[in-house]
Amino acid sequence: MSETQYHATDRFEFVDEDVELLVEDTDLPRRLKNELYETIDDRGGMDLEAVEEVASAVESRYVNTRVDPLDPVGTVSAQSIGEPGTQMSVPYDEKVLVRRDGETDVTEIGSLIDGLMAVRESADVDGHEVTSGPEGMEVLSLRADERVEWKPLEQVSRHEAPEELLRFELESGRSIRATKAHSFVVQDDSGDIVPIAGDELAVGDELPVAGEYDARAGEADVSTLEAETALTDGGVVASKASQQSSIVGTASWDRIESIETVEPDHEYVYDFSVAGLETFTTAQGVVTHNTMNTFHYAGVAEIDVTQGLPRLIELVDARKTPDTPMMTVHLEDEYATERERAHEVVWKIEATKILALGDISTNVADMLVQIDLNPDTLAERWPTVDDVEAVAEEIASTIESALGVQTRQSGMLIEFGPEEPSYRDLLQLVEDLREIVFKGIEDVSRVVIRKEETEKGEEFVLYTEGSALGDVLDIEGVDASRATCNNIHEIYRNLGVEAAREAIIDETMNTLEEQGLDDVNVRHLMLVADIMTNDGEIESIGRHGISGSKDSVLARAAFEVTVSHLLDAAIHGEVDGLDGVTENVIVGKPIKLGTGDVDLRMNPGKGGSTD
Amino acid sequence: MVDVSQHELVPDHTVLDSDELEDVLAEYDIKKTDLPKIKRTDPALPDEAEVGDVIKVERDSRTTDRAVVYRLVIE
Amino acid sequence: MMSTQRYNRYEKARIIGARALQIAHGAPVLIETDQTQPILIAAEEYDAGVLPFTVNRGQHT
Repeated sequence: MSETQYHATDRFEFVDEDVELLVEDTDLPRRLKNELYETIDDRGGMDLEAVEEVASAVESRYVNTRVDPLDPVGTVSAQSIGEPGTQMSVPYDEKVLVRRDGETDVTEIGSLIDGLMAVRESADVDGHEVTSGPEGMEVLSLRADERVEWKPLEQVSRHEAPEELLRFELESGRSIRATKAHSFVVQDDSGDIVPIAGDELAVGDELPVAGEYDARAGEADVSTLEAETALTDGGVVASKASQQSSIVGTASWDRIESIETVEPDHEYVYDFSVAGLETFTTAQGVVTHNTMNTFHYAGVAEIDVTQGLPRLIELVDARKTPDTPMMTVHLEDEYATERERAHEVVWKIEATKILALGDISTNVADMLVQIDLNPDTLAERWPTVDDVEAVAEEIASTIESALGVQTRQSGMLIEFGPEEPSYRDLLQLVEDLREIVFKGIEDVSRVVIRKEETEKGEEFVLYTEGSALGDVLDIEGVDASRATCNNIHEIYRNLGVEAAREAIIDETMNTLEEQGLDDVNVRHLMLVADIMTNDGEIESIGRHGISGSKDSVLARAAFEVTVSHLLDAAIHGEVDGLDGVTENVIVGKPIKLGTGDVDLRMNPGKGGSTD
Repeated sequence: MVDVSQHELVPDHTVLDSDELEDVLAEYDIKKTDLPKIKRTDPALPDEAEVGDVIKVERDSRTTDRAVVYRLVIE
Repeated sequence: MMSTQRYNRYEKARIIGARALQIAHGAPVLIETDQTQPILIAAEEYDAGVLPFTVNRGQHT
């Protein structure tokens, strides 16, 4: 990123040094800063306070939507929120670097994957054909610490090509073509490597390239042509690469010289899935990033769920809401078998906010918020309403009642503004507008739809981020006998103690199994669940629950804060009947169980006993 | 509200009549207040259940075919 | 009396254990036996029904 002196004051008529200082101080990428300048210029200048407000609004929005490494973004999640245009991947004839059994090779990604698809069983994940990678094949992948490393190729996928691709030309002469949403990785201001969508890249941004490797392979940095010939040559590279450990070198950064859209000339586009940052390297050394996150929780891609000890603690502590609430929603009848019907249910569950429906812009001159709705999205999300105009009206009235403003709606355009012209109020309206839920359940931020093999055959199953089991059970199409969530309190409220008991057992067992502790006997977990639900409601195990409410002073003292328990007991003159196991262990008596519970008496005068 | 009893997590709940209750209490030699509890407001409870009734719960057990437990209905 | 009372396994273990301790401490053995270990002697005494113990089951069944 060219952070060195941008000199916006020279380029824009209405930008003075104060404004520049303010804008440059934000955490925004170059492209957005420039847009800010342009906007200021277009309006013939703005006062400093207004600039500050706009800049901070843009910044907060940018920071909120920025994606962290390994965050679930990309195809499956994007398509599940209904962006039909979202595609990824590189075209057929893009050459990629692969290593197999120590032999480095350059191959066309298309022919490689088509070959695999022809002989292997492939799964269909939301329009993407996915199959496992060939045994022993590795690709060059970028690690978070900028090292380039050979990583096993886990999965390959292909799908139909979109209408246009982006072609990036780099400073060094390398080039790459990819679909718009195919994420690349860039370095953010703090030096972290973060994924970024192709169409968010701008000229001047830098992409990582496997520089050192190329240099060693034949000084390929100068010309793409030479790079390819040198690499395809094979011999030299293979012998060198095979001697090296999996880490090949450090990535270097290459500036983007130009970006253009091109038409794809093949039916499909292709992608690789690699562990880690999910990046792979093309023959010209450009590192690209696949967002098909292969991390999965019980087979669910791209929904991140608390696991391991934190989850176990959460369950045993009976937290009111889990850290990462989620639901697993099975569907009924045709909803389970037809993708379109399943999507109807998705739109009823997933909270639809304004950002998904159209573009918002603020017209500062007229003090108006303008929403340009996307009719295709409306038609998709309100499949039962034929007339998108009616949907637009409904949206307008929702806005009116939620924000208390008068709206003007004509066609796909909705306009409204604050009562008094005020910049602050205008921005506040936009903020509030973003929070309005137009459709679906507020607590459910995302729904992922998956085709799964279950005992009922192949069916679509929905996984949600956020949970509201009570609401979901009432939705038409949802199989109310199988929908569950990971919040045991929600299950308790909607299905009762017995169901909560089952859920505690299931969740604890699954958490343990996930960690490889599958040989823990369920009886332990059943005991825990029985105790937690003994009183007819869910009680936690810890200090505020079962362990803290034991009758015996000694047992409580043995659990936590020994001295204060003993002191309190002394003050209140408590008596310990030594009935429990813990108390008897503490005082060194046999416990009242089994042989310890037998009250043995000797009959005097019978037999001959001494002692 | 949907019929909760159809949910796969919810085992069968039935109200015990007084004869059965006596047999149960005699078998375990306990008072009915010694039983685990279930709230009157529990969504899985049969409609006719009253506070003081004992509910028979028949679970599909993980350790045996079928497990029968009892819960006392409380406020 | 021994023969009239049926013991469960915990009671049996406890009785034999207690008796074995007495024998180990030098109590006279109540039966003719070839055994030399206290626990085995106690077991034979138990089987013969000669041990002077009762189990107070209190409110238990």
